[in-house]
Amino acid sequence: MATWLGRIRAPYLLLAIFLVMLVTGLLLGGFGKVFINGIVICLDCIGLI
Amino acid sequence: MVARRWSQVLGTLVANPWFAYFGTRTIYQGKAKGLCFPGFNCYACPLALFSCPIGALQQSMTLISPRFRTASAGQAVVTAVKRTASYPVSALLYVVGFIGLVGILTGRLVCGWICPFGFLQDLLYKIPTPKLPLPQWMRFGKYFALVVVAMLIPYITGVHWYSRLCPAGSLEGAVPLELLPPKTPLPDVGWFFWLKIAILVVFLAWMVVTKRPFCRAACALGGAYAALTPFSFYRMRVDSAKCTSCGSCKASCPVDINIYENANSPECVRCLTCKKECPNGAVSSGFGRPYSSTIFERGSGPPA
Repeated sequence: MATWLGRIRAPYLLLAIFLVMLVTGLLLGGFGKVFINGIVICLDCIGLI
Repeated sequence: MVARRWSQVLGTLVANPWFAYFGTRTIYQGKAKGLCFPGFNCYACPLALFSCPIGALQQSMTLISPRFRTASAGQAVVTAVKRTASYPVSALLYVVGFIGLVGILTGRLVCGWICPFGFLQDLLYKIPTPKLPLPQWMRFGKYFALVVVAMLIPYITGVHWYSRLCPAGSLEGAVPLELLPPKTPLPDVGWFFWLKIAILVVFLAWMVVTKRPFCRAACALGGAYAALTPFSFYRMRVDSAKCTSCGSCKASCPVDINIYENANSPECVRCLTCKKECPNGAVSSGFGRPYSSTIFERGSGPPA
């Protein structure tokens, strides 16, 4: 399985996919969403206490 | 390894440098929280500057969930998130891209060198007590934690259950906030708080007797990195001509693996202790083209 994935150059494919996801996420405003999420989840955790 | 210890201390400090909290009693809510820290560090920690990738992943799953809600975050915040979530999938793309990129480039190098929670486990295991091995089947727990608890359940229920039960969240977020409350008044301690504490105590006790039990059995971030480790660009290599299968590597390994059986095992946290401990200098590591080495890497075993 691993050899087969190596043969089809899976690592390069995965690298490209993750890079595209990261850049697309950033272009669509993902940074801001995670920023907002960070605040939400912080407040939610406080609420759990 | 002194270098690794310093790296772990530095990783912990980089993830948690907001000492202003002691004066302001306000959790950091600046732009840096839009960045994920590659290690496992609760972003509800009063000192945290960055987001936890798994917390962010869960919250992203809840954003795309048909049952989106933030149960106790307050209506104003929920409304604010809904207003800004014009592209609800963008956070998910960003977080998955981030975790994936770290994983495919370095595998679990982060776990061994900068993760604050991994650091804690390394330290607790040094307490001299009788030690217990981790049952092999438990290693699948981290994949379950990632796929089911951190992704599927938040999508289905709209609630980030992994964070709610996370012992790192209890240790770094809930307990410090209870001891040093922020300016914003906190609700009274309820039964859920004590459930979180019970989970934390179980894991802390387990960390004393077993090598890195949380990393190996329950860490969703470790699960993501582990899945990518066999394909990562950072490679471990064992020279079959030098390896004598003496077992020095396993004896010193913080996750109990035989590196000569599978140099790029998903369990390996790339702490590189085996590289230092190998009496024959058979273990090496570094960035390179995956699958390019002429030295055996996966499953081929040492020479007879």
